[in-house]
Order: sequence, then structure tokens, then C-alpha cells
Amino acid sequence: MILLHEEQHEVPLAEVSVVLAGGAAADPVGKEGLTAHASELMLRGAAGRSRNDLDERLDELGASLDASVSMDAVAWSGRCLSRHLPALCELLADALGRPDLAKSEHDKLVREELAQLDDALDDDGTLAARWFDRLALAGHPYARPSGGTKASLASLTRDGARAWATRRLGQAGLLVGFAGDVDAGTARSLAAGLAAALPGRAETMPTPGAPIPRHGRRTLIVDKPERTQSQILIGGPAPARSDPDFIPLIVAAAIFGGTFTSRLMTEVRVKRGWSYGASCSVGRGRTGATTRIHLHPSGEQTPKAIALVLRLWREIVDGGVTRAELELVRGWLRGRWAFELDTPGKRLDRRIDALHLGLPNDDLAAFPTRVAEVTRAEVEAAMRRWWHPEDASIVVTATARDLVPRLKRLALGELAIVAYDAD
Amino acid sequence: MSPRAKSDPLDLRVEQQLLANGLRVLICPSAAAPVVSVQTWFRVGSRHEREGLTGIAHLFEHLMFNRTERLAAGEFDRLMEQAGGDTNASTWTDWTQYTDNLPADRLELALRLEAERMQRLVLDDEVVESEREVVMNERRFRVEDDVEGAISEELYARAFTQHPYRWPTIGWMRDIRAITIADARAFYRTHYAPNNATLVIAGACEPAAVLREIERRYGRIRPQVLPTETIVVEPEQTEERRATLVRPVAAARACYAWKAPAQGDPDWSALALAHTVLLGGAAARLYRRLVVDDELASQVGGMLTPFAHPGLYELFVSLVRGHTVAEVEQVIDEEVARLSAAAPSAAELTRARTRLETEFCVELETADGKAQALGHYDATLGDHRLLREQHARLLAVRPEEISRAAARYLRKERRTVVVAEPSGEVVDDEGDDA
Repeated sequence: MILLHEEQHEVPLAEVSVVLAGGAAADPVGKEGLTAHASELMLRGAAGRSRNDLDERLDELGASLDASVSMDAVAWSGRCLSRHLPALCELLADALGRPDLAKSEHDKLVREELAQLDDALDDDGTLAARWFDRLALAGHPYARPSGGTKASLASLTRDGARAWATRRLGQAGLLVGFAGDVDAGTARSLAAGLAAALPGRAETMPTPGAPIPRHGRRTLIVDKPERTQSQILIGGPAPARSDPDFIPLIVAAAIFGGTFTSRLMTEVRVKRGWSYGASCSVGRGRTGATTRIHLHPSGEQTPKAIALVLRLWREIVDGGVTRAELELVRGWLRGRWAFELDTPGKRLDRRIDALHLGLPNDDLAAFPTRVAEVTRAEVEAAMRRWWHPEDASIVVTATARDLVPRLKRLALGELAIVAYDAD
Repeated sequence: MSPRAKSDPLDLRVEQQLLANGLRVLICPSAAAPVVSVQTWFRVGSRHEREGLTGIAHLFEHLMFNRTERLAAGEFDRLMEQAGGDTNASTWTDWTQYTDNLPADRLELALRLEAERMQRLVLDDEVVESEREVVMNERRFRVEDDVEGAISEELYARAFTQHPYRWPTIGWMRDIRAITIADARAFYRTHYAPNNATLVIAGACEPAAVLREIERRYGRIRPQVLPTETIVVEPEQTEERRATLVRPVAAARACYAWKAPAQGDPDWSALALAHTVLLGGAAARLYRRLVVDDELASQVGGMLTPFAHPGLYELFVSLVRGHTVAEVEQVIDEEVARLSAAAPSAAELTRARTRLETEFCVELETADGKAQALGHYDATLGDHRLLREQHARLLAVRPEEISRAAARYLRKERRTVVVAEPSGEVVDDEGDDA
């Protein structure tokens, strides 16, 4: 077991996290959503307490206790007033060590998850993001939806969830973190209690390989009626968080679309008023991620906005960045780093991330220096290696009827349409 | 948990100062992190607008990020970004606020730039036209293409017949289109004055030095004669109002809203506790019935508006496909009737208080959170000390006060209901139909 501890007593709050390496990327094909489902089901009754009993006890403590799943890890995290932390850890130990995983709760949770998929259909940005990873990372485990699909959720069983818990839960590889108003001795003692609730052995999940780049542009319209504007994502694969190109590429992304004075915001919003926001970001994954350019212009402005963004993207890759842009972004990234670490909970999350992303121990402390040392040559080389506008994946949530003929006039590659409520 | 832990999270040290020009200053030092939050709260929001000019407070918030007499276009943001700062702003019914979060050693920069745009903003046609386009796109994003935004807009337009809370803060599309540069200039002269603002600084700072810098940067800005607000009293609602929208949603959504007291009203705290008993946590009455036991809803949430004038208690439900609004409504009516008839149990009250205590600590954990809380209370209720007082009042509410507040405020004749039903049919355009 690894114990991480971030102590600070400014506010009488405490947080606990129990984390296992291996997340949704390890879900079997056709069983997407299994990790999310099983980890949540463990919180729906344990050690003789029903779900309602657990909920009442958590409310008595004023505590939150949630399961969360990324592609690379699964975590159970709770927060409460620090005087209630031992009681919260007892509940968490029960959930991890003696979960009921009852059939009735399994069935109910599947129904909840299906309803959540329905809710997601009402958010156009979420819809675009859901289809973007499938398009940009096709064939890679990161492309599969961590919350599952209607078909995959329907195929999950209580026995499958039990098997997942038996296979995955164990002291080997366990990471326990505490943050906030909790001293080192208490953290050690509570961590030992949590680890003792688990069996010794657990299966280690394989790490997926790097995503394979796709060649040529492709565009997917997520067709939804009555849209007055389009939610647009444009991008492609990005390096692993531990790749030497990662930091130069986040500098590039900040110059292109990370700040209010970035090229995208200046050209799309400030000069033309075409979209409330226009941004570029690079995701963080153990073996890879995506670069995403995001904007949401009106339906009328959508074709010319896409054409403009693709041209700007080409220009920055070909023309590079200026010394002034680099200086500004280095200052911005270094200065705002303080806000990534301004609470003990955020510092704990960053340290947990670093472990699961395969980063060196000094990554948190070294980040500002590393950013300060990035050169124009490194930024431009990283862009040339990873940014290929001619191979862009493009997803547009919009009403297809009027848009498609106008998009066909642009060189957007193969153009497909999918209904917004397709699985 | 630890001998070093503070027993009272409300132990906020706040230095208060009133400059000669009327600018209120609040400084809340905290050594928790090497950051500061500089927030300027202007006591002008959408309730200070008039019919035909709705949305100007919000549009103006956008205009504040443009050039000044001494800063070229884009310079404000460029300097902030170079310093590692993030800037943002928001407008609501009662206020408009500007936030600069930046490393503590760059605090002086934020004060210099904020003082500059408070007194020397330059407005021209090109800037107004560009921001108008941005705001129209923001409205499409937040209202036309967002079912929750559309419901909320319809709800306020129905619930209020006289009070300015009836129009949306972002404004009606037709009004956004019609705002002129003369309107914007008049708005700036009238409302963006030091005697209509509170400057809040929270984080790693030394109050005496900060106060000296504020006096230097802001002390010479001239105050303005502020308009006298005519307070509109919304007539008592005497019957339930209902509306149905048709939208491409997978399952129906519904919002129930009852007329509620202003945040400064003594009853507000009791109603806030009623909300916590109904919806504060997974074991709360309505959440358990609607989501857990009966599985009628995938999500349910609520908000008691923290407004200066009487507002709403809103209850928002996302239905599970295959269930009807009538089923949901029956549960809501039963639970509201039960709470109105009998006080909550001691266990429920303990749970509600603990949750409120926890939420309060979470809210005040960061420099930004502290500044937000102090700024809101000062701008909305006129006194930042009410932050602490209201929290104490919340924890002291008695069980019978909760049921009495539910019985008084959560009556059907005080309620407005807006439902969005699924359909593929084309509906009205761009929200100009209120």
C-alpha cells in the first residue's frame, strides 16, 4: 500500500481517497461501463447496512462518498468535517471489504445508468465529447465510453460485478490518500484500517498501448433537431502525460487556445464574435490522450468557423509560435500552477494522478521549472509531431439537414451522420 | 481531528474600510496558499434594467474587458495572463462581479488594472458590435439550445408579473440586438462608480499594505450620483401558474417554483433548512422517494434564491423515461404537505445542520470562495457580516420553524410549474415570446 498525505489545518475539512490502478480502459469489449458500475455498486449496501442505511449514515456525517472512474484508475473518495473522518473511513472500509453487491441494487443501478445516458442526450457539448473520443481514438480502449452504452449496460450482471470486485480489490497496488485537517499519525492509522479490510492479492490490469494515429480527415455530425448553434470538437491523438512532448504541447495548446488572448479566442470570439468560447486543450492519459479544439458558433456561422479553425491550426503548425507568445504562456502556466495546488485536496489529487500517469516523484515541484525551460524549438517540434490538421477528427452536434450541404463544400473528409440518441 | 484544527471555520478576519469616494473595501487575509483573489462587486444587476433594455448589465460585463484610455485592446487580459492570473466575471439579478485570481505577489497588478477600467473604459461601435455577437451566441448556448436554461427563463417570466426578476439576466434576444453604444455609455457613467462598488481581496496579503495601495489606485476616482431605485413589489400570487414547452429531450423535465422570501428575511433561513430536509443529501425526503425508492427521476435538485428582493424556491426534476409529471407531482405534493404538517425529526435536523456546516467550510476553503461569499453578502444584503450571522441563524433554526415556513411558503397558489415535454416538433424561435 502507498500512503499519500497532504496536511493543512486552515479549514476543519478532511478528504480520503482509495485508488486502484486500471480504470475503464480495462473494461472488456461489450462490457463498457463495468468498472464504473461495479465500483458504484459497492457503495449501495455493505456489512449489513442497506443502501438507505448507508445514505442516512453519510448524511449524519455530512459526508460525501463517491466512486469515480478514469481510463487509467478507479477511486473512491470522501469528504467531511474532520471530526467525522474516522467514521467515514469505517463506512468506506465496509464498502470496499464487505460490499453486498445485491441483485436488487445491481438492477436498480443499471436503470439509473440508463437514465443518466438519457440525461446526457440533453447536453450538446457532452454529446459531442462522447462521440469525439470514439472517432479520434477508434480501436483504442480509451475510445470506449467509461459510462457504457445502452447495449453494454444491459449486458452487465450482478455476478460480473462480483467477479470484478474479487479480481480487483486487494492491498497489492492500493493507494490511500488523506488531505486536509488530519495529522500524519491519524492518517497512518486510518490507512491501515482501510487496507486491512481488503484481501492481500489483486489482479494487475494491463496498460493499453499508445493510440494509433489515423490518416485523412473524417467528420461526424451528431444530428439533433432544433439546434440554433453547433457544438464542435476538432482534434486528434496526443502524447502520454509522461512523454517528453507533453509539456511543449500544452504550451502550444495554451498559445493556440488556452488563454483569452490566444489565437483562437482572438480570431473566433474577439474579432468575429462567432462563438462565446474557442479553446484548445490536451488531455492527460497514461499512454495517450487527445488534443481538442472546442467552439460553439451559430448554425449559420458553423461552416466558416470550421474552415477558419482548420486554417489557423495549419498556420500555427507551419509557422510556429512567436517569442512573445511563448513568454506570455510560460508566465501564465507557471503562475496559475499555484491554483492547481491551493487546497490540500487538489494537491492530493495531483499526486495520485502523477503516480497513475507514470510521472517521476518530483513532477509537482518540477512542473513550473519545466515550463519555464520550454523552448520555441521544442514547442514547434511537438506540434509537428502531434498536430496534423489534414488528419483531423471533427465532431459537430447540430441539426444536420441544413448544415450537411454546406459542410460538403469544405474538405472535411468522409462525412457521416449519426442520430443524437444512437447508442 | 487534530489539536491544530480550528474549531470555528467562521473565524474569518476581515478588515473593512470605506474610502472617501464611497468605495467599500473588504480584506480577508489567509496564509493557506500563495494566491489572492481580487473581486470587484458592483451593485447593479439585471433588476436595475428596464423593459426594452434587458441584458445591458450582462452585455456591459463583456465590454469591461476591452480597451481603456491607457490600455490597448487586449492589454488587460495579456498583462493578467503573463502574471499567471485568471480573470472572469458574472452578472445576476442584484450584482455584477469581476474576479482576478492570481499569484499573491502580483496583487498590485490587479488593483492597477481594475482601478483603470473602473474610471477610463473606452467604448466604441466596433467593440459593442463584436460583443453583441458573442452575447447572442452565449444566449443560444445557455437558453435556446439548453433545456434547463429555457425552462428557467419561462419560469421567471411566468412567476413574476411586475418585478424586474421576470426577465432573464442575459436579456431577451430582441433587446440584446437593440442596445446602442449610447445605452452602454450611459450605463457605465451611472453604475460603474466607486460609491456603487465593493472591492474584496482574500488570500495571502498584508492588509495595511493592501489598503495603502488601494487608496493610491482608487482614492481619486470620482463618485457619481446614483439613481434612486424604485422598488417594485410583486403582487401576491393567488393561483398556480403552469406552462409546457416542447423540446427534443429524451425524457420530460419539470421545474416547480414557489414564491420565497428575500435572503435578508428572517424566514429565509427556515426555508433553507426545509430545502435541506427535502433535498440535502441522498437520505433527504424528496431525493429518496423520487430517485431511490420510486425511481421516477434521474436527477432532482433545488435552490432557494439568494436575492435581495423576494425570489423563488426552485425544485428541478429530470424524469426517468416512461414516467409522468403527474407521478412526480404527487410525490412532491405529499412530501411538501408532510413537512408543512409536522416538524422534521431530531435526526433529520442534525443531518441538515451537519450538511450545512460542511458546505459552509467547503465554500470558504479557497481565497476565491472567501471573496465570493463576502462580496455576495455585501452586494446583496449590504453587510458582509451577515455571512457569519446567517450561518449561525441557519444552525439555530428550530424544527417547528421549518414546518411553519413550509406551510407558509410552499403552497400551491404560490407555485409556478414549467414542464419540458419530449417531441421532435419545431418550436418557437430565439426566446422572444415572453
